[in-house]
Amino acid sequence: MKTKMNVNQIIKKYNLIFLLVVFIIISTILSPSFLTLNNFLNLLQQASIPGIVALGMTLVIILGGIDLSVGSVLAFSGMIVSMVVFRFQGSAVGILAGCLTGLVVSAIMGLVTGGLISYFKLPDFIASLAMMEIARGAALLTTSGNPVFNLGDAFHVIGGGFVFGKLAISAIFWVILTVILALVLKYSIFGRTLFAIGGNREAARLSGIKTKRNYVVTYVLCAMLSGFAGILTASWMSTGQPTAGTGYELDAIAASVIGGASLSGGVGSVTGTFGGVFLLQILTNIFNLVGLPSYYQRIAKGGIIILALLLNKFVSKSKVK
Amino acid sequence: MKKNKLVMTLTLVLVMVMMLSACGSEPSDTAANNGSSGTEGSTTGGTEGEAEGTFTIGFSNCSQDTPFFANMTPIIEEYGKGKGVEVISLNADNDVSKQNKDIQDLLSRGIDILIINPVNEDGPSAGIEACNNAGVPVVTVDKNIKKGNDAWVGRDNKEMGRLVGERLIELLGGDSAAGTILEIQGTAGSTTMMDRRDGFHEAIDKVSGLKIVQSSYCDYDRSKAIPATQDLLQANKDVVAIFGHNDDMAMGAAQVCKEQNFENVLVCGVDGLMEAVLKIEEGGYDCTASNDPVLLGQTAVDTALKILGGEKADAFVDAGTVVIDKSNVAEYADSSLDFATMVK
Amino acid sequence: MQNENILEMRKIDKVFPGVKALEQVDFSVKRGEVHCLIGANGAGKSTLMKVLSSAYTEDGGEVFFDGKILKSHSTDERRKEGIAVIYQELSLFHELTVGENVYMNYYPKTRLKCVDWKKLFQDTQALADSLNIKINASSQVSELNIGQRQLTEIMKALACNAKLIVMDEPSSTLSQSEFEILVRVIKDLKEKGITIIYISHHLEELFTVGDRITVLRDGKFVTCKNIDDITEDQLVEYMTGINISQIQRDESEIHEVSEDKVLELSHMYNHKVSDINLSLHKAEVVGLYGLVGAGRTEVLQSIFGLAPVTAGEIRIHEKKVTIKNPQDAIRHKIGLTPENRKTQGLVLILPVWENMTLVSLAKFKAGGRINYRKINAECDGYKEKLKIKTPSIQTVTRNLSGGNQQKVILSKWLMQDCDILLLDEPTQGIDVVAKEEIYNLIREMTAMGKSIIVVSSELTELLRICDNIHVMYDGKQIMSSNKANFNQEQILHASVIGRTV
Repeated sequence: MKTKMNVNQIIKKYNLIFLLVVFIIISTILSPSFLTLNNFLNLLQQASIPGIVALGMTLVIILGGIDLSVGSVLAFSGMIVSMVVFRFQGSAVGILAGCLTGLVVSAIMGLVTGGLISYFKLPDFIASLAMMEIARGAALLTTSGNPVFNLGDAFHVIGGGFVFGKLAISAIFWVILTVILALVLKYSIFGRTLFAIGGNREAARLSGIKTKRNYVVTYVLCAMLSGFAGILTASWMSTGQPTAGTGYELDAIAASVIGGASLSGGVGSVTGTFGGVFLLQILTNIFNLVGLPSYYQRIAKGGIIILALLLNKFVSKSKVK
Repeated sequence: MKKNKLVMTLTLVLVMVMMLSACGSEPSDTAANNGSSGTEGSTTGGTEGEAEGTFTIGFSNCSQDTPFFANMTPIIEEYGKGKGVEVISLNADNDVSKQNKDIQDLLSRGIDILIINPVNEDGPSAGIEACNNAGVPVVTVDKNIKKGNDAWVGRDNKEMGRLVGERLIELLGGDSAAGTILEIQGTAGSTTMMDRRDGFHEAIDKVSGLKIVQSSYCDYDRSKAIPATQDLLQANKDVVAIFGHNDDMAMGAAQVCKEQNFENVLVCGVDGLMEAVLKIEEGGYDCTASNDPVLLGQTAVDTALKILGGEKADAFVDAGTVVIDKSNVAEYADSSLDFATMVK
Repeated sequence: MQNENILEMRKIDKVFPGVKALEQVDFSVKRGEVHCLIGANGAGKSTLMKVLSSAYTEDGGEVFFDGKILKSHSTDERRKEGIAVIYQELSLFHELTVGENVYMNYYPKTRLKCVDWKKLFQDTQALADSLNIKINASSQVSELNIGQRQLTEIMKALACNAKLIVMDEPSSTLSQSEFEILVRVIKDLKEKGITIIYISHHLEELFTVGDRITVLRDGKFVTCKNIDDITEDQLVEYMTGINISQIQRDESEIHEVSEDKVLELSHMYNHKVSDINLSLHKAEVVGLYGLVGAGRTEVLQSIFGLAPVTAGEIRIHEKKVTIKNPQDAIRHKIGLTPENRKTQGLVLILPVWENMTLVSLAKFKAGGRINYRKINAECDGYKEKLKIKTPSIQTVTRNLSGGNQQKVILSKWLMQDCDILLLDEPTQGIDVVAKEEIYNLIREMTAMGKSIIVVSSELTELLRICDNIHVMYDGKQIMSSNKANFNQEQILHASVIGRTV
């Protein structure tokens, strides 16, 4: 039996579903190719990698922090994995070793970022911005900016493979990770402490919660999720690309906030973020289907994000009074 | 006490990260051309015998973020070394103001001639002016600038687009060909992109039955080209071919075709990227126009040396291109290279 | 023809969803008097004043001011009529000067329609001088202390020629000497013919400044009396509907304290206090009294692991312990309700149940996951037991009143089954009814065998509930007193001069 959420959060959540439905309806009207199984499956695949990044970002936002380095960590991890896989000529050993190394490296980066913010009290914005630069530089340094090709078909399966014909494996990963994190946030002690720390760090500390440690753990989780997204990206593209993941942090933040997270901390939902990512992907998708020129796409995307948030605010305010 | 331990651990970790990435730049790890990796600011000395009057070439590259650009630096350095000149190279990371600074740096290090691949054609005007004032000749490579240079070594991108278009029409059945062609576009505002596009359109327009549908700008990025291709295939019926402004993107499109069972769709691009050339051999990719960075870089150095030797160079030096398809792919396929080369 | 009453609010109704905040309330204030308005939290005082200032619109009834009915419902209009309200959370701009704040939006203008700064500062200084308060009109508000800021607010009201000033809990942040200045200013204002409505929890103050007093309870008007015709106890009874004197008789009995020493501080030093020696026995209530800055909170901080002990020992059950952080303290079954409820004690955006389980969440874990059914049951139980007034345990804690928030914090530690409770100013800012409930809780907790240390600035409170009181001054412990020989004068004296006589 689940605890009832407080009214505000329910409205916000249904708000998102309402928005999604509106988007889907409008998109269907604008393009007959939209509401097809094939397009939907494409959407899932396209949204899965930014979606996994956004999951990590949501955790950090609930905690009351921010992590701007996610895109760069994605790239660095992707490069490391690609290099290892290439060295072992795409063999199973290489893939396993590569993925492990990629995850470990991302975890270390998360450890550093989280440690700087939590133990050395650096502002999270600046610390993660600095890591963003470091990781990106490191990614470019690995191969002097060259992408790594020829990673082999076996590796390609992880991020680019399908099951049941058209269902992307990366999408399955996304869904599974979302479910796991949702359960963690709701049913594990660690998960609940994130809300407490995000809501009032001092009160959490005075109630015996290990705030510093949990801070670091969350940043490590976020970085590892980005690292995993890096593995999937390299696999899908069959290329290790040092420029991968650029700009992913902003989309991750937008998706989290559309999904109900508050940048001041203590509020957020991974299932909401799932919806938020999906919403943003629908935007890009419908722009492509309709053939909207690139520049308009960016303006429209920004405008619609603002509209979505305003609608959110408006509906929740008018219902709870 | 605890805090000190923490400082130690974190410093150690940071050092590890640095070392790990440094390890990565070993030559054997990547499929880099001819086994050399170019890092910013490297200097290659001339051979012992020709120590007197060694020229110094400064090379200002626009970025390292695509294989094409990344390859140019080591090519120019190697070739220059072989010709007995010193080469100092810098990379501007797509930042115009950095490129201007790079040029100033090169000038203060006493270069005799500047080879530059500009970030954009207006950009580094301050740096170019400084060169003009210092009496240092300027040779542009790949992309051109508006004024101030003594020669431009480049390619006729329009010709490349047109050649690919013409070959595509042949592969589609000649003048009676009909259907939709998806055009996956590069970076908005780039002259290279516009030339390739215009050349391609010029060729295709001659056949009335073929229609072109353009994608959004995918910035030569495969990760953007793949979703764009997925969506365009979804929205357009009767697609017979896909043309990407570079092979990197077109390869992404080819992958989508394979995944979504569009086996009969022809895929072509520009650049002569080895991955694409090998795919032509294997099947699944149809044609490309070579954009050999080796020949380009070497020609640039040759032109520079010509000017340094007192001769006048042509305003535009065409480094040449060739269309590679199934019929001649055997000559060009070579998995040790990044790009198909016309240099034998 | 001037009415004797400057303000008449007749049959005011105000309804919020599910709650009748005000029901047929009559409230009249005579011209030139200081009229006190009191009632428990939720009684309707703030709501009534918000209706007066037009921050809220009444659902029924009328407001007459200076003989005419106030039809307009804009706060600006009401201000222009001469009604000024000074809220508890002062509304000053800290980065601006006193003068700018006082004349905010009503700047004197030069002929060229620019702000006449010279006149602005002159007038402000004149106001300050006329009230005999030492404030420089060109100082930045951030440089002023709380008392001076309070007075700046009053000047603000005067600057727009207020005829009626409402002061909502003006003294809650003032020291004794600052309060005395406020009293004098109020007297001066009275002489100028300005009417004052004074709202405060500190009943003694009302007797100092007030002429008449109106009591509200549960949104209804209870009574209006002259200050001379009523005693403090009677006031409390009007406010709460409870007979206080009986309770106080029960409390004055001295009860036996057990021999079992649960906590002992032996020559304890930290960054602020020196040589603290006290023992806490099982079921005992120990009080720490002293002025602000005496170091009482710092003693609690060391026990709870927030301030490192630089010398001396802390012993629990006769064994020396080192408490380096809150987790250690909790493991030793110690709990702390901090001085500042909202910023240190609660996560306001989370629901009541979540704040209650903040410490003890681990005990609700079964089979790898948190059991919400168990949480709901236990939290509802505490809600009943502690009489916490909230629509449900899902309600966001921010919406509860101060007293109920404090009860939530107490439940948090009770749920953790703490043996030693450190309460820092537990009844600060809480209305009389809730205060009694908390004293009751403290009694019940000791009956359960728990031991409590209370830090408070209200000596009367400590005298009622403590078995032993220690007085602190400037980081040192200067006096200890047992219930059998409590001497209020002596304790007060010692806390102020820093030594026993």
